[in-house]
Amino acid sequence: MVDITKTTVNTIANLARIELTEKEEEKMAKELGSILSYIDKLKEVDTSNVEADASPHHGLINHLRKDDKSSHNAGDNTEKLLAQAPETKDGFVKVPSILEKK
Amino acid sequence: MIENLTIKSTKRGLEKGDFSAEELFNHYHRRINEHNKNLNAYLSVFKPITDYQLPVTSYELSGIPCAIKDNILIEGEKCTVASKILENYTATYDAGVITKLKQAGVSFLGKTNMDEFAMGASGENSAFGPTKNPHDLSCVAGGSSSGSAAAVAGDLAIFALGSDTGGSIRCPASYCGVVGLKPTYGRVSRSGVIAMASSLDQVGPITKTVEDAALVLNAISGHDKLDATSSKKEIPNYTAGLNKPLSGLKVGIPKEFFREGLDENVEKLVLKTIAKLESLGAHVDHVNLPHLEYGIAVYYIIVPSEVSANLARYDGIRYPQKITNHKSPAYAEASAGRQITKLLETYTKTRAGGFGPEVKRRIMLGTYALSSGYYDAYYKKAQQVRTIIRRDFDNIFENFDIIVGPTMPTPAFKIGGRSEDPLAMYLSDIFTAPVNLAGLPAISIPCGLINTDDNKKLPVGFQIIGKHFDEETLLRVGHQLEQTGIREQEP
Repeated sequence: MVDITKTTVNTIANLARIELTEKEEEKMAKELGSILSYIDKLKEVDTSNVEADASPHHGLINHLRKDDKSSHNAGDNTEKLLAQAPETKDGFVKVPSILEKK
Repeated sequence: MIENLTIKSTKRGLEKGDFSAEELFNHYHRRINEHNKNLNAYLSVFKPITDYQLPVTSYELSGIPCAIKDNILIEGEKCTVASKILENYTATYDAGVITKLKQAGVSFLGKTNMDEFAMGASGENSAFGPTKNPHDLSCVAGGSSSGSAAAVAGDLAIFALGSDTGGSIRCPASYCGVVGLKPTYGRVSRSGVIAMASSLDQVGPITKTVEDAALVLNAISGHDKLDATSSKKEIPNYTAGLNKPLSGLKVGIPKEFFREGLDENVEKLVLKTIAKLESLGAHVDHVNLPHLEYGIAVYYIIVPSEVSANLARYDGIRYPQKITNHKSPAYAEASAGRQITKLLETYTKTRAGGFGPEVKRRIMLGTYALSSGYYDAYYKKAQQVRTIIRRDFDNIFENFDIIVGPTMPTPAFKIGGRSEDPLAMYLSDIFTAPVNLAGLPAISIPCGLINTDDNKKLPVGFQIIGKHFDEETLLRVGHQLEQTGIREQEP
């Protein structure tokens, strides 16, 4: 049984940028523990000398395009994209401050 | 007569002038208005547009009304992925498949319900309520493309598009008694499809017949310069070989498919269907998928890992989720009416209120698996076992043309019946998820009905898995099986 503590859940939630309620933390610890215990069965598989393959099959070739104007002209989508942001100012996406005032 | 039309019969009706494209669209519009409150298959319904009426014979799918899963972008229309976090998002461009469907002349009826961010196997994880199964409204429609399958099964669309990461087209197709095709990874563009797990996601058709699936695949396949993983491989005419005889076809049945947890009636229907295959001239033999049982463990490391990266962009900065609007208890508790003044809080509170429980669970799991110290034990290990699973399939396909078996271990279950145990829900992907891990194409076709205790009939799906880029054989086998009448057979 993989034991996931509330402290671990807290650390992960912080990395994942998700605020959890105390109740969610408890539930998450239990559920992640149970899922990870199941996933532990992967240890049974001998993977020595097996490549870690991130590609679903070998018939794939990345078709890269040139980084030029062939996809779109600069500024083509700026207005449409900015219109989706919750807050904008002078053509920029507006965000709260990062640095604290002393 | 406009009733339960297929693409093929619609084309005939339009060409003969039995009805116009406008009449057809309005008919489906009325049906949606009447029945969607029961099914909850659509999240948004489009207004009839006046200029969709193209000359009816000029394009392959001219005037065919279809539904689109709500993770596929249509410019100017909302695209919510059934999540609160994108509730107010309007797509700024067309997905690659939408561009192709527009070129083929379809008319869009609306966007369909789904598990939030396509995470789920029942449709119950939608932030906007579960989709109901047209065969029994107390049952789930399957997921994650729940609304697409229910819309086609309930005749609220002639066909629909879904997406499949671990079974999300085939599972609801199986539960709703319709055809669902997951193409080879790379066959269809993923541009403009809101990403869940990018190494697995693939768009495909949900239709009433196999022939219709071939017609839609003809329209949506092919390279897209906006998806670097889409293949430049030639696109065959998928309808051309549907009736080519099956004599001599080599069919493998993995012993591991017939396992504990497989419903006895599902097993009977699958075996009956296999007997039909033999009567059509196919050679059937047992094969082994020795690492099948590790498929789910691999899947639930790789998917959450990719999810945790893909969903990092939803943070309250670029997408229109307003943190001041959401009603999350976490938000109310923590903010207590005060203004959020720090960037970090914008992230954590937006994500707390915007994501549902399953999405949070997968982001957390993926973040854990990729975090320092655990990467080798989980992510790398999972990728290695993924390689082994793909090799198992490759080995079988050296001697066999297709692999067949059940799509899902059971028929549709009651809404709420499995929601307490996420792991039990994950395990229902056992026959479908390994196919995505290997990037293979697979189709689910209706292969019979099971009588339930409350006098309903629930459909069962038969899965056919093929070699990379060999959708032709899947469609050919599926079409000929369909012609034998398996849809109506009983255990």
